[in-house]
Amino acid sequence: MLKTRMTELLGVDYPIQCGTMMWLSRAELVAAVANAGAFACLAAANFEKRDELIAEIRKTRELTDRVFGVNISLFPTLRAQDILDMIKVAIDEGVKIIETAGGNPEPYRQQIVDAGLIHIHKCARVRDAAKMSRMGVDAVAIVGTEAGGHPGMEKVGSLVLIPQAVDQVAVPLIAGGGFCDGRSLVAALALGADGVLMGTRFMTAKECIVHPDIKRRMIEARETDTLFVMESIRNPGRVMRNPWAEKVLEMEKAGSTLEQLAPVISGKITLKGWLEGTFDQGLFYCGQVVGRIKDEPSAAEIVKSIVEEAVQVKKELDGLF
Amino acid sequence: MKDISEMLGCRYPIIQGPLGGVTNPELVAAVSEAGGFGLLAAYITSDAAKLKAQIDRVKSLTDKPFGANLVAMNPKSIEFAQILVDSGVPAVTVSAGNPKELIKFFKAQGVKVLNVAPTVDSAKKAADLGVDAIIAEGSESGGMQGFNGPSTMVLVPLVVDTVDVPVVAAGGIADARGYRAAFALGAKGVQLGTCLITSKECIAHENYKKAICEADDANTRLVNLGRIQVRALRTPLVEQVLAGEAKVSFADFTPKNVEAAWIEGKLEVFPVSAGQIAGMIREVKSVRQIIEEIVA
Repeated sequence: MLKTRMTELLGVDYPIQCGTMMWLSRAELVAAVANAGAFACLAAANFEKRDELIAEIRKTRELTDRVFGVNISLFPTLRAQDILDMIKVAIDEGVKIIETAGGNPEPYRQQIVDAGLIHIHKCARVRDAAKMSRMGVDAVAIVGTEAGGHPGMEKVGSLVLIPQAVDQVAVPLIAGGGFCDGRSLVAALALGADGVLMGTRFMTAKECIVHPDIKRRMIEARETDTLFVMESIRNPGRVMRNPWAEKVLEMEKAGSTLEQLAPVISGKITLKGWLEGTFDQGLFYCGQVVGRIKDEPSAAEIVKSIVEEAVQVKKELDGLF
Repeated sequence: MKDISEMLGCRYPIIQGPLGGVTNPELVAAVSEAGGFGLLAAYITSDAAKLKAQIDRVKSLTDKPFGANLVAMNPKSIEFAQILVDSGVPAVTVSAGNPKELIKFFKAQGVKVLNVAPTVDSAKKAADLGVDAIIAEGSESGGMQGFNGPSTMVLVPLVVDTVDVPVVAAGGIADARGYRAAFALGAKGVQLGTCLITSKECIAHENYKKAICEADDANTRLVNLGRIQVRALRTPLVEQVLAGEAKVSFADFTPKNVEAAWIEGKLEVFPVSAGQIAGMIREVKSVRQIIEEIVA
């Protein structure tokens, strides 16, 4: 009942992706999502050394025999990355699906195509989605402004973005931003998407490394408890409202430069916070839908409840229309 | 309840959003005639006589039910409420401000009250005051906006889970796909705004309609007027305001400026409101065609 072009293309049971999350998309979570019949990617940018990425891919493979992907971040970073080599590692390790995001993947297309990989590109604007479809990627993901992480400068909601992207994209479309359950999955399908990606929903999953204290903060958070930082450096990030985020905003208002901001927006601080539960220190990326997250199930339970609800809602909807 | 149409006495669970200065009686009547629920924008009406005249005009064009939107913070609203009750409207919507008094008044007169809520907190408060339905309005919508509001995709299911009354989805809906998605999220109806501004029957100037039809998905902006924000098309004026080269404030939000920009088409005078869904709207159609395509 939930078979779509996305499930066919990726070889997964359900049209659900765990949105790739810097620091959090690690082997345990990715494997748990894959074992549950959904799709997930390791975030290659988590690893400074190629051997670490190799080890993580192998670890994931030990934990699941289902398909999973590797995400290659093209977002501007404070440290240099060797993108071509990361893709090479994924290819050499037998990964079949590459997800790019955060920049134009054109320089890497040939490498991805030559290796026969499935290429998903994630973007935040309809015009980029259309461009990627024309470029020949195998699937396009588009995220609305509700999403955590970096949902773009234009701040357009997913309800508005999805149908317009559907009209301009020929390949399967995966929708992100505001999704966490069966109702929202069916809404995305009604809008014409082939599936959804959800990051925030999986952040409180048992297999996610986020510290219990921060998971608790997320469960307490309302839908108005996220905000955008880093707009001044044209890379807005949606994060949870905390003293650290407020401080970054103040610095931005005062005209701080990238160099001045670098020490406080550093991913290293965020990672430390995720692991140690120091909620007042670091930027904790998450979506508006955090206001809908009220529990800490396993990834398998998350996927199962989404699918069960979606089947029910789809039936009800078909009865209405 | 299958959907909100039962409560409103119309054919389809579709409410016309109040469109401020371009909510002409002909548009309201056309929406009701097409099976939706038309709404006069009482909050922009300057006095009781004008509101009465607008109601009479709608009644001369349709015998189908219609209502009006009131702004709770407007001191004239109670006077307008009496006029609406006397005219026999079955339902009203209330936005912006504390709706307590208006809810009490209308309930005593047997008029249904739907409250516009941009957050879960405001929806819960209104539900506790006894409203008959909540219109959950996401940040995609055009016109007046709060700060840091959630999108329709996030807000609607949250409100559905929080209140016991039916929820109407507003913000980001202009076609059959969005209509269906709203119901998937648990809504019992939708409110349409931007796509009705571009209807043939709307008094909005051709320049305004054309600007909506030509907008892409990224062509609205939040313009800060001080106390409130307005989601408006990215016209040259709005670009200048955002670049700090021009200024508009709440004091400029006058009937005169609104009329000049919205009805006379002088887009350089004041920002023209539109929701993000403007990017999907391509042509001017009749209200009937818009509604028929949505429910198709």
